[in-house]
Amino acid sequence: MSLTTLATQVLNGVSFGGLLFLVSSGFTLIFGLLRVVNLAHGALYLVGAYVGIATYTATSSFVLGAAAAAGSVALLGIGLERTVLRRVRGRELSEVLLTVGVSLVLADLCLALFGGDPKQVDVPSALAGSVTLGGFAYPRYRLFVAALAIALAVVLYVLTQRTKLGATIRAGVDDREIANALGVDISRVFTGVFAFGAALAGLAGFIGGGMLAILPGADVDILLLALVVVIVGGLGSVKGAAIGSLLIGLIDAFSKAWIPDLAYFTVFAPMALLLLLRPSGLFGKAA
Amino acid sequence: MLSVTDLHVAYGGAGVLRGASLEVREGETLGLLGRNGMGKTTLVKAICGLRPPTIGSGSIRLDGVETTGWSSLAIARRGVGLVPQGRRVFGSLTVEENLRVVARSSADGRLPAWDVPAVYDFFPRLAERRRQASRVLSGGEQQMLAIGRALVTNPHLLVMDEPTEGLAPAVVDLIADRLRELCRVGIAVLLTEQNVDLALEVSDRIAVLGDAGTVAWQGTAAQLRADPVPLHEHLGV
Ligand SMILES: Nc1ncnc2c1ncn2[C@@H]1O[C@H](COP(=O)(O)OP(=O)(O)OP(=O)(O)O)[C@@H](O)[C@H]1O
Ligand SMILES: [Mg+2]
Repeated sequence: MSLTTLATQVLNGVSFGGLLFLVSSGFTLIFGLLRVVNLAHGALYLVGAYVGIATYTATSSFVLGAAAAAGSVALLGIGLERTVLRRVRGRELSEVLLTVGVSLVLADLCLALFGGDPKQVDVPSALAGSVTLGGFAYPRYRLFVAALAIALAVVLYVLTQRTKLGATIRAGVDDREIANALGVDISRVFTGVFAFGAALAGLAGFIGGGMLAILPGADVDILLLALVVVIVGGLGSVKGAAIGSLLIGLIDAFSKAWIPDLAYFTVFAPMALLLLLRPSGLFGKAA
Repeated sequence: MLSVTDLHVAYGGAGVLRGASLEVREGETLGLLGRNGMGKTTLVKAICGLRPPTIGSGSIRLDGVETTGWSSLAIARRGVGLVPQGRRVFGSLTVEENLRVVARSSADGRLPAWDVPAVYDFFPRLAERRRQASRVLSGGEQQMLAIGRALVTNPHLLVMDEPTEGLAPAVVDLIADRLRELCRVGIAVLLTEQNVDLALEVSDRIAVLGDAGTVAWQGTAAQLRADPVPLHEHLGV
């Protein structure tokens, strides 16, 4: 393998890992605070993609498309949390089954509204084309996705570790009951975090539409990968989601290049292995 | 301030309190005694709206307002500050963050206002530790933090559930000294304790929970110091 191919595969892995981080960070944030394994997260990704593409097509503004994707899915998340999930809070099986049900409904609605043909985001000219990096050309959009993920990681770090809001969220993760009994409205914090995590999924759908095809079934594909990422990284840990995304992105890129027939195996096998050795993931807290 | 009348509280079917009544008056400290498992924490939880247990019947009033069945959030905002048994500090937060996330000003201007610097003056040890994750603090330091955390919510009623449990004697003395100071500034306190000497020393009045799930004896701390028979009878000390 030449150095150029190697560098290309590394960048493919990093940029795909970036997209995975956009999806899985929201998933893991929601789990960390609400202890809900939100299996509708993939469907939120799909809804964000379709709404974003429709807005982008109508307005020709990429930024508006991204804002519509994030905003609409945030609202959907608020509705979901307040009306559906809140009723079964704390009953894990009901929560998981409900999110599966919601994801099926959303996927069918998407099929009815947007059809079954693959769609994609025609990236704006500023992000299109390729950049020449030390002798080889690489798609600019993929670099943009990687940069966006890094920016998100920084924002999430500052938000959770350096702000009062972040400390409040962590207090809720540590001891929700006592936080409430000291006058902190944790249920509002819950809704806010759910909306934020959902917004990230919606945004990821639209951004991902510039890299991957958006079509029925894309929700399940991305959900499975996000699950692998957070299981590897440790459920609830944003740092784990970052490392896990990078790892799975790289594994995916190299296995597609070397052994394309085993692409799924090479992603899931490390997860199975890790689960045997470290059941709570790389950065997860033991239950 | 706080009045509890004929309270029945149970976990599932098992009744723990069966008609408990007590009162904490403006500015006084009420010591709540009782052997292990008599229901002190159960009463604290009922007052603060924590579940389980569930309240079967009876009434809890704060400043004359019926708060039975309110959420713990609403009760906290009504002016009850909880120092829970076992401290339960937010372990992944620093000392300072523990205080900042719950700090809020009081609606009531009569009591001295607590803010984060005031808590550091009150417990200088916490100031030294302000940037440390609270999970690595010693038990005594965590207890100071749990008390400080309740104080910065500027409560009218401070509810402390066994604040000296499991602490070394030197630390108990320090906490006791701070409790005396708190009682002196006039905040109303409900204090549960296994340490009878400490409770008798800092409390104005004492209530003893007995086997029947009721308050078996109530009176001033001075009375008990003069005649400790009820202590032998209900606590076996
Ligand atoms: N969550 C629970 N579910 C069922 N029973 C409980 C629960 N918590 C406490 N109990 C029972 O209720 C009774 C009263 O417990 P409580 O914790 O109120 O006692 P306590 O006086 O605070 O004791 P301690 O001095 O040990 O703190 C005990 O018999 C205990 O076993
Ligand atoms: Mg107790």
